[in-house]
Amino acid sequence: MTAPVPSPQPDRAPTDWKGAAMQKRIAARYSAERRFRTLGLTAIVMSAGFLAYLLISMLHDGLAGFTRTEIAMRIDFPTAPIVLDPASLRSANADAALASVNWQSLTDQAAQENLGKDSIWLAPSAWVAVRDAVKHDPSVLQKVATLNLPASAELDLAAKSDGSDEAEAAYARLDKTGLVHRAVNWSFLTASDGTDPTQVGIWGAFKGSLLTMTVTLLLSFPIGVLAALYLEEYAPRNRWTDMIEVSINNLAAVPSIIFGLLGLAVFLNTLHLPRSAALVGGLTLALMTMPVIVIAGRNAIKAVPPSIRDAALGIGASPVQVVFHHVLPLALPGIMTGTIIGMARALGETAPLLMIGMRAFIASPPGGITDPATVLPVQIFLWSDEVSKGFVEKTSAAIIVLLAFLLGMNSIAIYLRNKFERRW
Amino acid sequence: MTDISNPKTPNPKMSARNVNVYYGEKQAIQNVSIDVDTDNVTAFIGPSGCGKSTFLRTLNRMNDTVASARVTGEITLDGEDIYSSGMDVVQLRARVGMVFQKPNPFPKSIYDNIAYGPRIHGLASSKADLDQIVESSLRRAGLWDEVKDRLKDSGTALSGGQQQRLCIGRAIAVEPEVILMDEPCSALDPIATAKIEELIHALRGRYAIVIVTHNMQQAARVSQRTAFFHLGTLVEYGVTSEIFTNPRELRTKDYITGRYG
Amino acid sequence: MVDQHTVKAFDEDINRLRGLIAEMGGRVETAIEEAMTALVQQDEKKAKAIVDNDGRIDALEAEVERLVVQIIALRAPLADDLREVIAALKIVGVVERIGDYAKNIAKRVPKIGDHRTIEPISLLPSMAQVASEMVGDALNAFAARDALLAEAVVQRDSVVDSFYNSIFRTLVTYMVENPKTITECAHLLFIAKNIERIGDHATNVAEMVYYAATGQYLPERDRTTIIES
Repeated sequence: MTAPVPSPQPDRAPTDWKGAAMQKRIAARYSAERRFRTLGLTAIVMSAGFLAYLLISMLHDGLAGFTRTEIAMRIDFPTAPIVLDPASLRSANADAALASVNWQSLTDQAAQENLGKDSIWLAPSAWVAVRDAVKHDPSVLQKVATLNLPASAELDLAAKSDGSDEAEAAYARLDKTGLVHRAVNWSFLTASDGTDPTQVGIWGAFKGSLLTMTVTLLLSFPIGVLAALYLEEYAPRNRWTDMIEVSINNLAAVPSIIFGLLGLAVFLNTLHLPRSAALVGGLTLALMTMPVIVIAGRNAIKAVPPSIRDAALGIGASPVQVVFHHVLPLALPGIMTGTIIGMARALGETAPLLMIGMRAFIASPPGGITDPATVLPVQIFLWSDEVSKGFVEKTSAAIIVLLAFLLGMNSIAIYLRNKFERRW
Repeated sequence: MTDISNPKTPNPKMSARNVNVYYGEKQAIQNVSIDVDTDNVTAFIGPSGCGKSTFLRTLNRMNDTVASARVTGEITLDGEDIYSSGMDVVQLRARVGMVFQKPNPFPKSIYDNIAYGPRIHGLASSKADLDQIVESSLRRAGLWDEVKDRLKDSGTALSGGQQQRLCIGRAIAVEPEVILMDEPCSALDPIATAKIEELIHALRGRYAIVIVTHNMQQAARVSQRTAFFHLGTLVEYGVTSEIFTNPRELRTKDYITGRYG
Repeated sequence: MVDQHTVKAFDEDINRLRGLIAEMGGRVETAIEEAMTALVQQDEKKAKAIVDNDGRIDALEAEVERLVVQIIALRAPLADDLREVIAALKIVGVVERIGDYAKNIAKRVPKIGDHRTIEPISLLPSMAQVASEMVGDALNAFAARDALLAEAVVQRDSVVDSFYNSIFRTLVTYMVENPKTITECAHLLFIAKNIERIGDHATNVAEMVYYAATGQYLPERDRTTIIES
């Protein structure tokens, strides 16, 4: 039983709210407010500036990588020395029929006829385009067709005013004849790595990334979420769980190259899984992503108000029912956001994949998770190392594809969060 | 301490005898013996931290969720020890339902809020059966007329008082024998409070009701028996009209007349 | 026991309530004593003053009623506070009634005339003395929440009753012996009856005080039979 509350001491002078000292303090407070706001705004403007610079330079360099220079060429198929029945191209063994033709000499000959000495500016692999055109539309065999064939990398650079004097002169010459023009380079999105920058594509690396991410997601999501659930909902609070918590937090901060070494030692040297494969890459990245998912998951689970658990327990739900009927659905948006952020980090990871051999030159897209594959960031790393000048814009273009991929994943994260987030 | 009031009631639903509750080293409840009467509303009053909520939560073993909590003594429901190994805690909580201080509807539809309990306990054999349970529970919770046209709306979209009545409806949907209410009106305005009190009045007799409240007028209004807790002990337990007009214990008197700090 | 409420304004209200009742009690006691003096000394001026002063007692009653309603509405008193407030409300009604009896006595003073010869008139002041002490003690018991004092007041009611019986018998004898005195004897009889009623009301107040202080009802006592009834 306490004493009654004492009344306030009345011996203080009344505060002079209008006095000069008080006005000065007020002014100082307002200017501190303004200073702080200006600093914050400066920080925002600076970071926005850096981002804008990155995006603009990337787009400036990279967009050209999605285009190529083409030379229009008349090819007189009926008189050409090829024996190919259009009907056979519609049959099952079309590939065999196509393979029987010497497309290269056909293309060379046509180039000589069309361009004379400028035929050297045609891409060495231009014959592939001729073959694909015939394959796509066998009817061209019966007529004189004009095909747009890719120019060589040097002429392509000249077209972007970045080539040798010789090439630029040739480009000027060809430009006057109206034979050259620029077109969208679809093969960049459908082809794989190669040695000729005009012919390389991003699809192989993209598919490699996709397979690797699938392996990572399938492993790290369920394991990470279950671990988070167990730690939050079931594990007793003691020294062991404290240790596990510290370990998980540390694991999330371990440099990724260490995970690469771990993957090399465990998956390749001990388990003898196939080198360079998306499977091993996925496993390694899953190790790296798991702690991120566990931490995000635990935070999301912690954010579920205890009153919901009480409500469910109070009407006789068992602990498992509480978790799966209430806690998990409410925590899922948070868990998914964390997962996608972890996946985005894994998607951009290069170092650990280099350690497990995913830097090999792979000219065809992987067929499955055990096939040798490469991933987008590694592809970017490889291309940025290339000597040929034509790879510069390809590198930038690949970066744009990678950024678009990341942007897409983050958009999904935001969409899922907004869709499933509930108020309570 | 002088002779405390008789813990016995004429028709006990639950009986606690010599109950002690510890949180780790700290003892939160000391030697409490009390009956909860079948046909009456029992109010637990007392200053903050006196253990009344803690004791309430021992009655349906909600304290089990606190790792450090330990309960000794005996609490029986219809003569059956609820802390014995043979008692299934999930079933116990269905029989002894609970309504909490803050309205906590699930972020699901009004229908699903009510239907959740019957679903997990398998109380409805068909969709029509479940509809029937939802309607009767909402009617008994005095909410049916207000929500019958929007059963698919989220329970969290209701007003605070409606949410609390929804929570009461959710509790009675599993047909409990006892309903524990932990300060059910502390977050509500006077009108919503009055509706809850009216509801408690209407539910009396069908369920044994225990209500923890800080509002003594409310305890006086809704309960027939009142228990005064202080510093983890049960100071006085008796008929509500007696407690509020002529308490036997000095501590009870000082508390209810507003002389206790 | 802690005497003070956490909310000090509550204490102030309760104290003001006790103060008002004490003032009322004091005025009523004075009115009874003055009425006796006026009767004995045949002081009609004094008697007139008593009648006039009764208005102040009525005003006090109204003020207490207002205060009680306000305390119940704003402070929601419980337990002993509740009993005290309710007792106060009932007590003022009774005390006001006692004041009315004093006023009645004073009103009879001019009608009796100068007849000091009648012997019972010397008994009346003693009877009034006991009754007015009972009123005073009952109200003191209320202020002090003193159940023992209240109980003692109840015991004393039989003294007043005995006085009444004795005066009743004497006055009846007077009237039989000397029919000329019937008018003034009848007035004196009414005065005695009024004092007897004052004693009863004081007893009622004491019983209310006892309940307010203890929460228990005083056990029914054997009342001395009053002859006329």
